[in-house]
This record gives sequence, structure tokens and C-alpha cells, in this order.
Amino acid sequence: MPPTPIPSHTQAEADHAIPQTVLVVDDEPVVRLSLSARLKRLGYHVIEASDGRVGLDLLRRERPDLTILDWMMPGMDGPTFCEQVRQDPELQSSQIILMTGHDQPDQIAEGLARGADDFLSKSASKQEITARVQAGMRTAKLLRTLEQARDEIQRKQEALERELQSAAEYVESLLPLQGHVLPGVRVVHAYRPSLALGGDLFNVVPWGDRLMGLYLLDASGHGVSPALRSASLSTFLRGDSLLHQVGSNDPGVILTEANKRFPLTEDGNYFTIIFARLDLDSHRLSYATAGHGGAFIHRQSGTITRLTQPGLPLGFDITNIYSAAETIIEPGDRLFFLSDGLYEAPSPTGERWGQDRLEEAVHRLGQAPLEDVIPAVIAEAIRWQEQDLFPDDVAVMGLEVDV
Amino acid sequence: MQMTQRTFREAVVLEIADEFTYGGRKDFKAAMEKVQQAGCRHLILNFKHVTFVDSAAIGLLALAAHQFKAGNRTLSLVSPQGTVKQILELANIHKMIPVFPSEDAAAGAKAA
Repeated sequence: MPPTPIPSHTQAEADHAIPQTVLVVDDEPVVRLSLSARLKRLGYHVIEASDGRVGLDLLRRERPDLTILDWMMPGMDGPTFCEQVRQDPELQSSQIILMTGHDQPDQIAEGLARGADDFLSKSASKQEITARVQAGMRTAKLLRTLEQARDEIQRKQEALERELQSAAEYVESLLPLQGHVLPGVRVVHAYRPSLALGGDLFNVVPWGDRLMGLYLLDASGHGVSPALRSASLSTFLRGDSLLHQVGSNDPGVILTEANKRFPLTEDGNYFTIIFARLDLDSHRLSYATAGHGGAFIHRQSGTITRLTQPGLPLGFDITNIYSAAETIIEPGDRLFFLSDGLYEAPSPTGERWGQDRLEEAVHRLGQAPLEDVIPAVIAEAIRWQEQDLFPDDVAVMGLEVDV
Repeated sequence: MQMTQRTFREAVVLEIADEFTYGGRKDFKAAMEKVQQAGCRHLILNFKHVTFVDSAAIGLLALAAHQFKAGNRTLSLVSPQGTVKQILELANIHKMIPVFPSEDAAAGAKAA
């Protein structure tokens, strides 16, 4: 069979306007010069090193496309050179052909195992050398393309993360300030989104000095879409918006209107929410819920009253009418609104922390300052799940009435 | 989440086991699409062995209820237990999907 024709000497130049570079590392000047001359005739740019250490320096500085390396050299031998390259994150994708005067199978295996990509006998024919160099160059080119694509993805990922961080800061800017929101009413909260952006939001809606609304909403799903939908619902729930678009501060009426405006999405995403109105003159708390279970009052007496009403989440049935229930808030009572991400925290065996354990934790903390209670409860959930990161968004808003 | 499909009288039964959460949404959606494409008129979701449902699962159930109602088909839910039952009750799911104690009762209600 006739030998396969070898491409002309100008192949490398044809592939690239700038010639590809080969680093030749060999302590024998005659071998080095001979190989270099052959490679130059093939159109490659050649740089030379007379030992492994100089070779490594050149590899770092010049980043050649291919390195042809002698096995036996004083100081650092070829396999050791390969090992150092593979351990260096900057160099590890370098293409290396290891060259030796002996081509014993064991030696070839050792060379490959220690980091060489290919093997070349010093007695190889001109055609074989050319073919192996070209094969190495093809691989080097492919790797460079992959590295460029990886770097591009990394750049885009970093840009996306910066955008997400910026969006997360915006979402957090929608949360209420902590402290007194009205004379005699103090709010403390915690917000721990499971990703950069969370789908939980809560806020207070002041209607004068003696009347306020407050809510906590939980968007199903995670990430950008629920966060945007939550921000949209939160905008709807602003005091001025409610005045113009609902014309009532009745929690049932507000949720009935929100239900029409925020239908179940095509992906099955929706909100659960609790909306309450607190009248400081009558101490009446009027509240309506849409499929939301995380709300209770911790009375100063120590008893805990859940504010749970079965109800369709928002958007499940746009004809649904939500109605409000009522209870009394006495001075010293504390109101807790939270998302299910806290009490549904799973233990390593999959058991959920549960509302009972959550309420026991709050009960145990008694009348400790609200600023201590909320972090302590979250810490207890973290101990339960044995990891810091919650799998779902966690939002807790505590409100204490002093008057 | 594990799902097995079988027929019971005139209905298709989709039996779900373990936790039905966000992670199982693709499998559930695919199974729902498959039974609807096969012309199923009555689908029974058997929840006897479901140990937990999260908010994503509730949303998928609501979506399925809308689809079956739009197609004039029947969707039933059977035997939710413990915490799952409580979560479904809190979300008033029975207002969208009738809940039965057994497949027998679900199939009988449809026949009636």
C-alpha cells in the first residue's frame, strides 16, 4: 500500500496566519537542532530549551501549541516535566509528545501515565514525526477552542451573577425597615433566599398612625421568575395602589382582587399569601389567607394561636372570594408571619421540622427580645437540617405590639 | 418520587410514592401529557404512598385540574395521608379535584 501523502510544509501556515509554535526540549544539541530544522521546514515557529527547567519556564512564558520533550535529560527528566505540567492549572492542558530512543511498551505506558499525550521514537520516520506533530496540533487547537469557550461562559456567568446580585439587592430593598413601623409596633425580620433571588416577600402597609396592613407572600418556584412575580405582587400591595385599585383595606377584598390579577402560570407557579390589617385602637387583627400556613400569634400569656384558614392559593380559581377572619392582639402579643421554607426544612433523613417544632421553639424562647427569637428559631431549623443553606426560601417577619 | 400507571375499571390510575416535590415536576408533567394524549377520560391520582408534597406539587395539581376541566375529563385524587392530607386541605385542593378514600369510591363516583 502506498504511504498516505503528507500535507505540504505550508500546512501550518495555511491553518493559521500566525505559525503555530512548537517547544523542543532536549539536552542533546544535535537532536534538538535537527528536529527544530524539520519543524521549521513544516512551517512551525520553534523555540528550544536545553533542559526541563528552562523548558518549563518557556512553556509558562510562551504557551506553545505543542511541546516535544526528550525522556532522558539531566536534572528534570521528561516524565517529571509532564507531571509538573499536569499539576499546574495554568499549563495542564498543554499538549506534550514524549520522545525517547527506546520505544518499549512499558516505557510508553509509564510516559503516558505520567502525563504525556503521545509518544515518539527518536528513530521515527519523517512521515511519522510529521503526522504525530499534526495530530498534536489538532488536539491543541481543539483544546484552545474549548478553553476559549469555557472562559467566555465563565465571563457570561460572572456577568449574570452580578446582575442577579443587583436584582437581589433590589428585592431586599422592598422589605420593610426593622424597628418601629408605627408608634408602639415593632417589626423584626429575617430573609434567607435559597438562591441569589428569592420568591418570598413581606412588608407593612401603613394607613395612618393607628391602622396598618401587613403581609407575607410566598411565590412557588425559585429564581428570577418568582422573584419578579413577587415584586409585581408586592407593588400591587402598596398602600397607594390598594387605595386606587381595590378601594378597601379589608384583607378578604384585597386577596379577592389579587387573585384575579395573578392567575396560575402556565408552568403551575402561583402565590400563597397572608394579608392582615391591624387596628391599634380596637386591637383587632383582621386577616385573610390564600393557601398560606405560616402565621401565628405568640400571646404574652405563652399560648400560641395559629392564623390558619384553608383557602385556595392565589390564581387557582379566579372566581374565588376570600373572606377575612378576626382575632384580638393584646399589648405584648407577638405576631409571626413566615414562609414554609422554615418549617419544611428537612432533616438528613428527610423528616420535616414541622410547625409543631417551630412553635415549641418560639414557646421555649418565651419573652426573649424579638431580635433574639427570630435568629434563634432559624438556628434551630439549621440544627435540624444539619446544614446552613435552606433548600427553599426562608422569610420570617415578627411584629410586636407594645400599646 | 416514583410513579406507576395501571387501569382500574374505566379509569387510568397514576400511583405516586415518596415525596412529590419540585424535583418530580418533569416526570409528573410527562405522565400527565401521556395519559391525556392516550385519550384518558378519568385519571385517578392515588396519593396513598405520597409522604410529602411541596408548593410546586400543589401548583402541578392545580394545573392538571385546569387541563382536565378544560378537556371535559375527570380528575380524582385518592387517599392522601397525614401531612400530605393537611397540606392539601390547607390549599383547599378538594375544591378543584374531588378527593376520595379509595379508587373504588373514585371510580364509582364517576360512574354515577
